[in-house]
Amino acid sequence: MSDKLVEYILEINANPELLEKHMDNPAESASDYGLPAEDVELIANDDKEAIKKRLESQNYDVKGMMLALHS
Amino acid sequence: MEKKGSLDVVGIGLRAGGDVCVSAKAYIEQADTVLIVVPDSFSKNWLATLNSNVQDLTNLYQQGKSRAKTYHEMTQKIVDEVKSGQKVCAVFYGHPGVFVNASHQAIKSLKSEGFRAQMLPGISAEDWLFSDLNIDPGTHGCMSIEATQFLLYERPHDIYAYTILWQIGLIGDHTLALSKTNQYHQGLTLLKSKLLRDFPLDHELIIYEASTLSIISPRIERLSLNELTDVKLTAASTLVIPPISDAPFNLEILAALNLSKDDIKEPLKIDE
Repeated sequence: MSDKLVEYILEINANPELLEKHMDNPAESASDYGLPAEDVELIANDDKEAIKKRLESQNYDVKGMMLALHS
Repeated sequence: MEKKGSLDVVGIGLRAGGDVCVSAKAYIEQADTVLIVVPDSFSKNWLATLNSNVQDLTNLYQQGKSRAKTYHEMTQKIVDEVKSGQKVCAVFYGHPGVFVNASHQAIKSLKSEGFRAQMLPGISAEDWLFSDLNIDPGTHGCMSIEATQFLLYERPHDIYAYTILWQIGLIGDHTLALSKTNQYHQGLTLLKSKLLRDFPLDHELIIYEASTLSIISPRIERLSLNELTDVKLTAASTLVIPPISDAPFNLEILAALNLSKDDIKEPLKIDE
C-alpha cells in the first residue's frame, strides 16, 4: 500500500499496542511509523474531520447507506 | 449435486482491517471474484490489498433511484457471477445480513438453484453500540428497529426494554431514495409526541454514532426527551431510549407458579 497514512490507520485498527502508543503520543507514534511530515502534522493537530477526509473515510455521506425494506 | 460456482457472504465490521474475522478474511483472499458494498474508499483500498479482483457494487447507486431497485440489481450481479462458475465472495460493511437486502436474496436464489451459498456474521453497528454504551440487551430486553418503521406503523412498544432506533437522521423518509436527507425535524417532532405518551420530558436519551477509526471516539451524546427536536443528526446517528424502569411483575404468572417477588430476586443476590 503506497499511502503510509492509510497503512498506519489500518494497522492501528488491528493493533492494540500501536493504538496505545498513538493515544499516548500521536505525533511521536506517527513519526516512528514513518509517516511523512505533513501527515505527522495532520495527526498531531488531531483534526478528526481532516483525518477522515484525508483517508476518504467519511461515513456521513448517505450514498452508500443500506436501507431496510419494510416487510 | 451442487453446481460449480459458489457464494460466501461476509461482513467486515465497521473498522477496516480490525473488525474482520479470520475466516471472513480468508474467504475474501481466496475468492475468484470479490463483490463489495462498503461506504468509503478507506475500506475499499484495504479490500484491494486482499484480492486483486474486486468489483465495487456501489456504482449501482444513483441519485433519486429507489434502493429497492438498486438492491435487486446487486442481487442479480452476485447471482450472475456465481452462475458463471466463479467462487464469489460478497463483502458488506458491518454485518452482511443486517440492513442488507441483496445478501439474503442472493443466497435464497442461489440455494434454490442448487448452488452452495452461505453467510458469515460480521460485527455490526449494534455490536459496537452495546460495547461503547456498556449496555447488555439481556438485562431489560431490547427493541431494535429502523426509526421510520417505528414511526409509521402501529405496534407495541416495550418501554421496559432498551429501544434502539436506527437511521434516526432519516426518520420520516419513506422514499427509499434518500430524497429527504437532513429533513428530519418533522419526523423527530412526531417521534417526540409518540414517546411522550409513555416517557417523561426529562427521560434521558442517547445519540450514538459508531466510530470507523480506532483513533476517533464514537459519538455518545446524552440529552433529555425534551431536547430531542433540537439535536443535530447525521446519516450515521442512532437513537437509544433506555428503559423507563424495571418491568413490573406479572402477578398472575407468579401466583400460578407459586412464586413471590422475593423468590425471583433471591438468585440475583451475591453474598460476600
